Amino acid sequence: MSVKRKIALVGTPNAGKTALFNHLTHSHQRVANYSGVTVDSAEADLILPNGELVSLVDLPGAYSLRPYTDEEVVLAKALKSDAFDCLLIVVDATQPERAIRFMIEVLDSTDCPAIVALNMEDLARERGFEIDLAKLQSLMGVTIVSTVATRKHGLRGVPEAVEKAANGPKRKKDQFLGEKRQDLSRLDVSMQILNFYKKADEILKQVLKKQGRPDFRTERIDRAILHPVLGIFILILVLGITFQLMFNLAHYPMDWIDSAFDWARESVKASALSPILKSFLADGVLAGLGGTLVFLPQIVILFALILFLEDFGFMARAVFLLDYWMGKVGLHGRAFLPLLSSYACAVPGILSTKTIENRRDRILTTLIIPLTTCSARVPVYTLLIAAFIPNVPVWGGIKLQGLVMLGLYLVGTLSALMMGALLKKFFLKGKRPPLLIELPSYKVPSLKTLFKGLAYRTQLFLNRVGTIILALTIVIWFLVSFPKPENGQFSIEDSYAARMGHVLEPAIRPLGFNWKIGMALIPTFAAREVMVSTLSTVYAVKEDAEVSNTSKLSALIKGEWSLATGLSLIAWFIFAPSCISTLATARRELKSTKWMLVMMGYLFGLAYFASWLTYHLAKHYNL
Amino acid sequence: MILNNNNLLLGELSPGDHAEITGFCADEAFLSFLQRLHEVGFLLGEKIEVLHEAPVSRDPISIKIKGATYALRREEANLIHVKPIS
Ligand SMILES: Nc1nc2c(ncn2[C@@H]2O[C@H](COP(=O)(O)OP(=O)(O)OP(=O)(O)O)[C@@H](O)[C@H]2O)c(=O)[nH]1
Repeated sequence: MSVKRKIALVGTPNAGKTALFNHLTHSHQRVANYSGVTVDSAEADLILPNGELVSLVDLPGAYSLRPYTDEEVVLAKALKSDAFDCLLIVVDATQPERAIRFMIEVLDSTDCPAIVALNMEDLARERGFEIDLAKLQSLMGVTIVSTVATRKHGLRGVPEAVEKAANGPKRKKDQFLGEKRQDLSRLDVSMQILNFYKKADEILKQVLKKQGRPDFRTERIDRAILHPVLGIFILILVLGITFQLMFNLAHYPMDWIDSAFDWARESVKASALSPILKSFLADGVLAGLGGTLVFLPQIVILFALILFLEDFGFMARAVFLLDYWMGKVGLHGRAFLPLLSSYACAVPGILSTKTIENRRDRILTTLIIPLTTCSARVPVYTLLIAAFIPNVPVWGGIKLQGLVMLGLYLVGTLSALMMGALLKKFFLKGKRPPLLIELPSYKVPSLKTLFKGLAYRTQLFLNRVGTIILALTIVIWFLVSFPKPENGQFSIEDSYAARMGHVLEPAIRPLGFNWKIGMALIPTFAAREVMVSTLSTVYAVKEDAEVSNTSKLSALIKGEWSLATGLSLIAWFIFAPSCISTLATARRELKSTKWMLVMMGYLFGLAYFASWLTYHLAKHYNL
Repeated sequence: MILNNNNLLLGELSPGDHAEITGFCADEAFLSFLQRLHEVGFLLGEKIEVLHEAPVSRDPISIKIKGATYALRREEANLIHVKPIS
């Protein structure tokens, strides 16, 4: 069988590329990797009417082929690469002039066969646009299909057109503006852009039978959302609801997952397998899987909300409302979305820094992302707060423990912002790059797009984070369970991990940590919350009792550690870069080991200093 | 692109103002950003309308152009010279 042919999906941002991709393909998406450039664009199978199976590759959205953002570099490279057998160009019918300009530019740049999906036909019709499609087709020289990407039958005709074009001859390059010189001076470039628009205008005049009305609905909604007073309230309300839902809803599935894995581990332990295999399955494999999956509820909920807000058109407005204030700490407005995502997990947060055009700003945002309070910290905070903070009422129904938890979130957020300001001022100096962001028209989000987007991001998370957590949990299981003595009883205090804890002890004693804490800190490199189970193991062995849940453990460590130690450990967890997945993602996304090391170094420095300070202050006040 | 001194800068406008683009800042340092502005439609002779400004800071502003809306900081909007129209 010959290799699967590839169809590239190209389009302007917000034209409905993602929706079209999701409705056109049925199989699961996977991360595409083509012609040497790794991008996280999705790729999925599409069956043409004649039965041929082809691959549809979702290339990054772009305003033009002149690379300005990293994503446009990827697009320009991909289009030059000859890797595709047909282009599917998606444009927005409610912006006909821009649509035609983009078509001209893409069609001029390559001789690859192409078809055009003139998308959002429903909205264009609603607003009264009338376009002579037959005329436009003959002027452009490619098949143009009117589509509604969010509707079941809205893509009729697209697979047929793709099939025909993919099996047809090559087109001619540079049909519209003639051959373009490559060595353009910067002024020439401006002229070229003007010429593309002029040409588009010329074509539009011939095909536009009726100009549409402005988008009154969007203008009305914007009058509320961008209102000088109301706008701020709406933004705060939306963020408040988002966090509320993330915590309150995620709570239940997290408990289910926990109990399911507890049950599975019990079953394995009760089975007739050999002890070593039982231990490997229960404390290695199942612990690793469970450790990844408990994060999913929070991540899924936060991403569902983010995707919804993005699809609706709110996220661009949030950038608009916050850009000025984020500028006060040296951040670009576009850093808002990555930072918000990192409250679930830093990894998807770092992945979404792609939308930040300027490299320095992208580095800056990536560096401070680990300071936001990701969901892996919550179990650790919960344990330590339960052990060391008395749950006394403070005011009304508010209790001290809840307040401390909120305080930890605030400290994380504030330190991220302050660190941003510091890094910007001293290391990543320079003017903030300009802001230019489209405020798209508001849309009713399509459920199918939401679900597919969510599935894709979940898969990405499991690939990136799950594999690392699972692998490390198994390594850690080994460190905790070996070496097995020739004779006699194995005790965790003789394990490799314990030896490492002892080696670490001199370094962490100034922070009030003993070797057991040192040992429990090692697995936090897999995921912070693994510390809870490691401590359980350590103390369970020592006390010879079954300590499986947080409340028993917190009672135990409360007796073992001083309050100063507990507080110091909390301080450690606010800052410490203890998650390999984050570091690996940062390195990969920034394509720089140096910046990963900077990230690791400054976070360790901060964590060490904060712990040390907390410990000594606490001692000083005799806590 | 020509430079005309007898008019306003885009960043000086307020919500509700209509204007026509008459020129661009000729500073080399901003050329690549200016090209991006051209690409999204900020071209000579184009008519624009300022729609909103961010609360409190009154910056950035949102601008309607060629049937789409873009947000720009005032500072960068000042790269664009405009002539108010009523
Ligand atoms: N009414 C209507 N809405 C659509 C149509 N196509 C897409 N949408 C909606 O338009 C919004 C943007 O669509 P996306 O598919 O995210 O656009 P995109 O081109 O992938 O955008 P980027 O990912 O930002 O480049 C979403 O809310 C979609 O649900 C359409 O044909 N009609």
